[in-house]
Amino acid sequence: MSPLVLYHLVAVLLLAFGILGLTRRRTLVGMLISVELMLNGAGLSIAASSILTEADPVVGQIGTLFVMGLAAAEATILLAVIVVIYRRFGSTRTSDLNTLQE
Amino acid sequence: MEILSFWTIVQLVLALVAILIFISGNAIILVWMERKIAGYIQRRPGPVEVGPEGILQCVADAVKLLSKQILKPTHADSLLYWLGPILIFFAVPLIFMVIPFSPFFTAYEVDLGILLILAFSGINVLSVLVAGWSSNNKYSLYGAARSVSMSVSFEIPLLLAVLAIAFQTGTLNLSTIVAKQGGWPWQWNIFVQPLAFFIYFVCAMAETNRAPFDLGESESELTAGFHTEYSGMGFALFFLAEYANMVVVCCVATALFLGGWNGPFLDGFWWFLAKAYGLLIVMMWIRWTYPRMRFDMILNLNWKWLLPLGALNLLGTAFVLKLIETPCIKEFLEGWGIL
Amino acid sequence: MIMTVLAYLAFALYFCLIIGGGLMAVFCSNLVRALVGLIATLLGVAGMYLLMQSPFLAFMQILIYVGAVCVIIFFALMMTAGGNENEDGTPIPLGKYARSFLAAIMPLSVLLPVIFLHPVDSADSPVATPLAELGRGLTEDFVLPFELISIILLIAMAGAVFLAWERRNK
Repeated sequence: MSPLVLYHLVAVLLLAFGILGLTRRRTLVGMLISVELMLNGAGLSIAASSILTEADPVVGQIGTLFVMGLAAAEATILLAVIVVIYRRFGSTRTSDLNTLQE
Repeated sequence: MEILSFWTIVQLVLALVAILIFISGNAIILVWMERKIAGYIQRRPGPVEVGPEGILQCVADAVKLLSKQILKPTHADSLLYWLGPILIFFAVPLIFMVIPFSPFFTAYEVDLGILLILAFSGINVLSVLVAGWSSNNKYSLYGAARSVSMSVSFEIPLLLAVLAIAFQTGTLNLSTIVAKQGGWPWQWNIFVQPLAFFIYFVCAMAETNRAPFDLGESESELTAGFHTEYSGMGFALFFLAEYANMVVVCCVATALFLGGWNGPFLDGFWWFLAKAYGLLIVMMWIRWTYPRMRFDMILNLNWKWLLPLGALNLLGTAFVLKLIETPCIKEFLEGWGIL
Repeated sequence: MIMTVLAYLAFALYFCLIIGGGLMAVFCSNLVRALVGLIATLLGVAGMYLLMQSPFLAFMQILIYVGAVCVIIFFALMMTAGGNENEDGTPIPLGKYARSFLAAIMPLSVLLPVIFLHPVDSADSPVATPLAELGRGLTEDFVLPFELISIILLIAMAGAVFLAWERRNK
């Protein structure tokens, strides 16, 4: 297996872990952790595909940096959303957030 | 997939051993210094019993800590509880690797030295959180939350101050930054960037949780903060890491602002150590002189003073650098022999 | 020769770190442990960036993810008192388990064959990109996305403060 295939394998596994966690977790924070896993896989894949092929390595590295920046922004806004939800519902379990059903 | 050659790895391992010896020896000397300085400031003798001038007192303390029973509070999460002290000590030797003690004595020359130090010091924050959370004690949790919210916010002006130096020298390599400064004080970066040095030093004291910023472990309110529950070696590792971190921030300040190994007459290594220890003594002096600040005062100091000042300093540095590069001004300055 | 072996050993170490961390992050019912798993994964990915000869990415990964994002998640945990996900003791229904596994296997079943059956030519040893080139890319070719990211970060920060704001005399 070439290095690129190995890195892509890791990235895909991270994606699978992320989806598994996202659908399995029952609290918002747990889901947030899974989202971070997926974003990491994306960053790894982008960096590997540009550094190890003939593509311009600068593009991929900058793309990965952007993914990191977006992840930071996303985590910030999610922290605020989680705090607001906790204040309103007294819990961050997804099964308690069901006002639309009532 | 090749990153290092075989001999570099041997060199790295040797350096790691040397660094670990340096860290532990250093902690013993620093604790003794701290006690003596505290004694001098409070007009008492400090340790005198064990060894001449009490210098062996810390060795005795180390033996005591080693032989103490290691306890874990009931209902504490054992995996996380032991991960805390290990994690806080794991980053320290890595950080020491890139510090340029002298032109020939840098364990691992890397172009992104400052970035490595900043990145790995972030791990400290997490280990404090993990330790505080897993101790299953409200004082620990309060201490961890306080010290982490302080560290995270003081990291921003610290980065801004370091960035100003990186702008000025055009590199992130610590050795290059040191090599660009001269031996006499007016050739040091502190002469060009006094504000950046001030911001860096204040933030460094906050990052290492030293008084007047030692809210994380304020003993009068929180017993000992995040390491309340640790005994024996667990506590010793936190203690060691605190002193090692002090040395790290002082070494970085020496390299960035105080000319590093540059100095007349003596060999570079001794100059570096002398400057770093000078800064350490100043840190201890400040600790035993000022009372602890209130939490809101600390955050106000950071967000209302240090952060805007740091941003202005960075903008000013960028502006002056651009100004110097413009042809007519460059010619003028060269005519006067300034550049 | 010995170096490639070492590189593969390092890769295996990081791989184990990533997989072990990922398993912890997904399956631990204690969310703080899950977060520690996430940190292990992040460190493993940073190691992989190092192996790819891009230390800048590795250090940024540690600085941003471990130093900032994980601390944010930890604070989210502390503010919502959500240390344990399984506190009421109800096990996850089996159907939900099966469905989430199915959801995770679906992309794998598409992407894994693509990766293994159509491998792209790959260089054996990556070439380091000078940092100056990266900086030039950020400030010349990709200056608009760079600025947009900064604006997004600013908006996210302001939005977070606005959302979580609580008046003192309410």
